[in-house]
Amino acid sequence: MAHLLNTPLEVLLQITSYLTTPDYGHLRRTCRQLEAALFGAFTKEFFSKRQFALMEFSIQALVDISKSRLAPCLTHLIIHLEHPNALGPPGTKTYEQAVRDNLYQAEYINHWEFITTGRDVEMLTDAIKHLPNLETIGMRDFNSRNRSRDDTAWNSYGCPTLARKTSYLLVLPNTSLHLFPSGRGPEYISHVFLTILRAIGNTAVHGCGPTVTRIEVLLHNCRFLDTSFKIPDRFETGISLALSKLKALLLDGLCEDRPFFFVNDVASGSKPIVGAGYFLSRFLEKASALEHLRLNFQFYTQHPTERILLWLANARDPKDAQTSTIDSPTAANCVKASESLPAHFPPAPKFPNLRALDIGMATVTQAVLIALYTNYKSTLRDIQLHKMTLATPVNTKSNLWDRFCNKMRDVDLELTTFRLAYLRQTSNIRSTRKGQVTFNDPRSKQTKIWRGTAFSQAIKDITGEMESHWDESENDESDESMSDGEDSTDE
Amino acid sequence: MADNSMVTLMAADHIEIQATLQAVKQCATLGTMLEVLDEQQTLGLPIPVLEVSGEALKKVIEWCEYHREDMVVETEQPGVAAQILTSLPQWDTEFFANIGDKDLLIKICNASNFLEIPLLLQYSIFVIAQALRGKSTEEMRAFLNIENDLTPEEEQKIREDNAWAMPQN
Repeated sequence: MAHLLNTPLEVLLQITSYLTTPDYGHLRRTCRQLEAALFGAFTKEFFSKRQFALMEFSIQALVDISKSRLAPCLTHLIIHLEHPNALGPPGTKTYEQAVRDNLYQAEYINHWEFITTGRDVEMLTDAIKHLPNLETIGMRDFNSRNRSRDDTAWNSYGCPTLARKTSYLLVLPNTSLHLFPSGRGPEYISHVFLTILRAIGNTAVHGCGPTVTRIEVLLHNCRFLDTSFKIPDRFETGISLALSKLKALLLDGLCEDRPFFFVNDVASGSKPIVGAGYFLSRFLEKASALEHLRLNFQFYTQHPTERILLWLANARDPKDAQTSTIDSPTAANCVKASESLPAHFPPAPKFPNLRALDIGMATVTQAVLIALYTNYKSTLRDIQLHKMTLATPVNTKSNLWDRFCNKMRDVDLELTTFRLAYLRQTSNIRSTRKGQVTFNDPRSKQTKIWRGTAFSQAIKDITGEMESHWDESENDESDESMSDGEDSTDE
Repeated sequence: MADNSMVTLMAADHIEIQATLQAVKQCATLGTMLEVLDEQQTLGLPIPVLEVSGEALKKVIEWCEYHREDMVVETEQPGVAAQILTSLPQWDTEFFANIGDKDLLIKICNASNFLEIPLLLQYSIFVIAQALRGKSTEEMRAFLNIENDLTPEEEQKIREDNAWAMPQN
């Protein structure tokens, strides 16, 4: 008699690939041999990477999983930012509608209790310390669509059930920077991030549980405020310890801060400036073991972005750097009422193992990027520039990305990977001219991925495929010649 | 040897099946075997296919004869995801519908895996999966001739795992 039990595992897995999750579950329950054969693939598919919302029912499922036989499978945990929102004024309702409204409203109130009483940190800590192989914690504002079964996305556990029972959807934090936004604002993102940090800090300080080495923040819409990176004094020890073990830190949706506060800017003749990146810089300083850093500056303007990157490059004005060195660690970590303004940045960080550096969605001059790469040239092997705009104050129609790549040759980088995607360029600050650079490659006009061992020699090929485009502008006739000094970082 | 010449295959139960060389070449395993064998010494001798029953081999060869003009599909490269089918061509639909016996269906699937006939393997996998879809655990056990040897505790654990994986949760 032919049994599916005699079928090789790779064939069995191809059969299961056609099944819905319920059917797959039924097949697992047929007998011990099939269950044993399918267990590895099943747990890899459903439990190596799981998403939860920071809501009690969802985190409770995580806790339960962490105390089950599936706990060793979970290596990647994602916390989604969705949450219940206050319902509008009640109108006339049927009995069933009223019951559904009450369910949702109860969840809204419960969520508020959950996040304001510290229960969220307690439960997340409890879960993490029981996940021995957890490596990555992520924070997201979207559901991944790469679920191959069931024609659905990877949702946060429990959230589809709530939506089905109440007929109300969960919401994302308000992206508005208005003073009084409706619903939970960007501060909720800061809260979720701090909850994650506190949980991994708790496990780090008690020496129990896994060593989380990656934090991945992926945001499609939400704004990640600079104050999200402020570490409260009383959590400093644990969080700093956890950050010191991070090998990868991917930050998305970075946003200049609200409320604004001022810092001392020696480089601008002691004129106070808004301290964009103040907390981010102090946060990054603690992650000294980083091998991979991604900074996506969606909600930063050019000069604050450049200040942060130059600080990373240890290439600020020497006077500014001197001021920073007198910024004591305690004072540097928090803004306190004081009669003097704090320094903008702490001393430049040292990332002795930094191999991969991704910068995205920012506008900068080429000199800033060159300074950054020069600082890490001994270890840097992988550079990614995504949706970046190269800027020059000179009115030009030159291909700025061609100039930048050629300038990179002088840095003598030993790259093995160089990725460029959706490149933009802008010239002349007084009357902005915008353009883009595409690639003469039928497979992908917007992206170029180079992998190899002879980067300097490959630059000619990369630039050879570039096609520079400039939008029409009023002063098209003028095209100043550019020299290397003309796009310096000086304001 | 010309592609339209006949060869004899011998199944595990010593049943001999005649096939055109062109059809046999749909099976990568047999095609390779024929390439390395000394034609003079093996001419006229049955080729042993000892891992496949006569019943299954007969159906496999029937499929290969129909598809003998097809381009032989390359064996899948490791790491490359298998193509997901949504339906079968009409002749193949009828071929599998006429099999009737689910044990034979699984035997054909295993035989096409052993003989390296990627397209037949892909089709039989699809047909088996279609047969399993929508069935309860008990119905699957009946379909697959499997006895439940799980303890109630083990079954409960699997139910819990499954519940956490369900898309509607």
